[in-house]
Amino acid sequence: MKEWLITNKIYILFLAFALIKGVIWILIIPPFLFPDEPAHFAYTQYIVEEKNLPKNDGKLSPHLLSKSEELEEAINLIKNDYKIWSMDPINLKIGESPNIPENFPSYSRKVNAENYKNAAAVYPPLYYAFEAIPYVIGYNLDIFHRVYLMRFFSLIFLLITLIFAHKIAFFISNDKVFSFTVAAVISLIPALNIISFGTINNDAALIALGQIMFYYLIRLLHSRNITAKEIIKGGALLGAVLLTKTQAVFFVPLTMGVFIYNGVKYGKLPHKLTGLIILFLTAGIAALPFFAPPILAYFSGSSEEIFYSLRNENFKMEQNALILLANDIVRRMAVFNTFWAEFLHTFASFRLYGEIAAGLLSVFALLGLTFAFVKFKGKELNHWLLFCLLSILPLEFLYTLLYFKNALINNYYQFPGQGRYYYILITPIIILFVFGLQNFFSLLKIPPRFIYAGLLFLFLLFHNLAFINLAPY
Amino acid sequence: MPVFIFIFRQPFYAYDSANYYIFDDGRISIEDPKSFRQESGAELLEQKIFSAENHLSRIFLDAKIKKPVVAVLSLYADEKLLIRNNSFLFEKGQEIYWEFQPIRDSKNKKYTLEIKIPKNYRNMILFPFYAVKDGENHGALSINGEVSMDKALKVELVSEVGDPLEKIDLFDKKVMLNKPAFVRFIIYPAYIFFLLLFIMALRYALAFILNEKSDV
Repeated sequence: MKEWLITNKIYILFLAFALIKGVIWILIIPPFLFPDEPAHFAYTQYIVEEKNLPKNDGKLSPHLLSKSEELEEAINLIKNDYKIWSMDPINLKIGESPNIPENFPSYSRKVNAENYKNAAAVYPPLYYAFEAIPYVIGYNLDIFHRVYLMRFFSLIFLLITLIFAHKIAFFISNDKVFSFTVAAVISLIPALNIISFGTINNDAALIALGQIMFYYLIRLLHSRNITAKEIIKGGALLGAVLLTKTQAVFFVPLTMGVFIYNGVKYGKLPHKLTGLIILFLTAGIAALPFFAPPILAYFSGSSEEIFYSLRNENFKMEQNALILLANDIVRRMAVFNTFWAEFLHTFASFRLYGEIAAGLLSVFALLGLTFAFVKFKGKELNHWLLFCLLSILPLEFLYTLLYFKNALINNYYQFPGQGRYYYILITPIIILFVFGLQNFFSLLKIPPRFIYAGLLFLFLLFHNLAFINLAPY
Repeated sequence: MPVFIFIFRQPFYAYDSANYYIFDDGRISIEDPKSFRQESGAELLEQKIFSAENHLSRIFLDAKIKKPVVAVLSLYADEKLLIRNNSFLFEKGQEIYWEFQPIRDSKNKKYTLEIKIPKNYRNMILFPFYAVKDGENHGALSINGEVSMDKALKVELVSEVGDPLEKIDLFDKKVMLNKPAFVRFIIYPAYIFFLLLFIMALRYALAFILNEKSDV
């Protein structure tokens, strides 16, 4: 045991650091500061209190949320101190520090199931069922204590994400330092810490289970024999990840691609296709009853009403090909920006430097990757990197499809404008980023270890700037 | 480094009058925030304001802009001494927001905010006038040169916090804002623990990354 602790002390220290970092974020972010949190809390509350799944009735809007009296009063208590729907500064006079009453009165927790509205209720229930555990544990406590308990539970997903990020990177590179750097960079990305793991949000489960699913697929890619146990395991995993959030649907074509590639390359294609069908059946049995309504709504357009209600008339555009394509590029720039530099906003100049740094490094990484694909042509490493790259395509295809559909049919140009929508594939993206940079700078004879150390410092700076930026808001 | 930037470099703002209309001698709350009338046609508005903090640097003004409008905003100290002035072109739907060089010693000072709208633009902007309790004591608002006793514009003042100690104090207050007792109790011990682990993790991570054997 002692020997194990000594051998792995860097990992233990890293996980302890990630854990306390997560705790700090959870404590700093005021309850219900982010617009999504009341909706996600309300979903869990509905499951526990009504012993049923919430079902929306009629048109939706993110500003319309059917709340229990308790949630309503909690939001009323704090809404004068900061604007719930924005990140504007809090209205606080120097010398004042309002507090939540130590024992917040016990208001009714019941919600009227009729004419129910909750933007989060379009999602499958796995994350919310999981969050019901801390809700029940803290059942006798007031709402604010329950919110913090539920947030603490999200840290389990953070740790799962980091462990599997390291496992994926190590499986690909067989390099401990490279894998450590990948996990460290992921643990320090501001928006990942703040929105996904710092508040109550089903992104946490999506990202964590997404990394496990990706690890499963990458192990399967070059496996000569795929056993029945692996197929059932894959089906259960796919079912679980589909039950977290609708976007996980991109794993269906990705899994299909892995099985077909494996069958073509290593033979026994009919057997492997049968295995794939069994895997889908297993996933379907686990997920379909809960996943089918959200995914149908996702593509039919009824859930898109949530987004249309945010549509600003000033953004209406003429439908022509040039504007459509130009806005697609602008949309991607916004996604890129929020992926790296979200929450550096009051540091106007530093945010700009951060965006420039992230932009330059990404260009260097792309050049380095191109160089690596030529340099390692035919080698095993190239196959893994290519898989990381190709795995992003179905996700990108899904979002692009939805963008064009919304733009052409509904004149809505802003979907999906958030970098965190790509965090489901955070590990392959960061692997490509770090590996590309390492190869780019190898052209300048700079050893990879200096690049890793530089990245660690850069992302620590990003993380701490975001922290000092958000903490007082 | 981020802490240093925050304390000594980053501008940091505190509202000193949000949700209130502050006149000569302190706060006067609105009688009923919903009981306002939207009116257009004003060419010259003079609203008395009172800054509760030093380093006054931003003013938000509630108005509805129907079409692009030109406006000149001026800030006078007592006795019509012009201290800040700027002209703007506000677009449709835009918020009226004026940021200026902070007024160093603005604490407990009275000012007059003057808004001039050229004649041909005056119908393109609506000002919500809120009912106030005791405007008559102070001549709070004047519209086209006529003093109005019972109404006020909605003006929010924002002060930049300049003094590092004051900034740290405000930071602490904001961090503690709306946190349950147990969070208030553990937040700083957790932060100290975080800093210690941060230093240790950084030291070992760098040793791990830079050491050829990677077996620290």
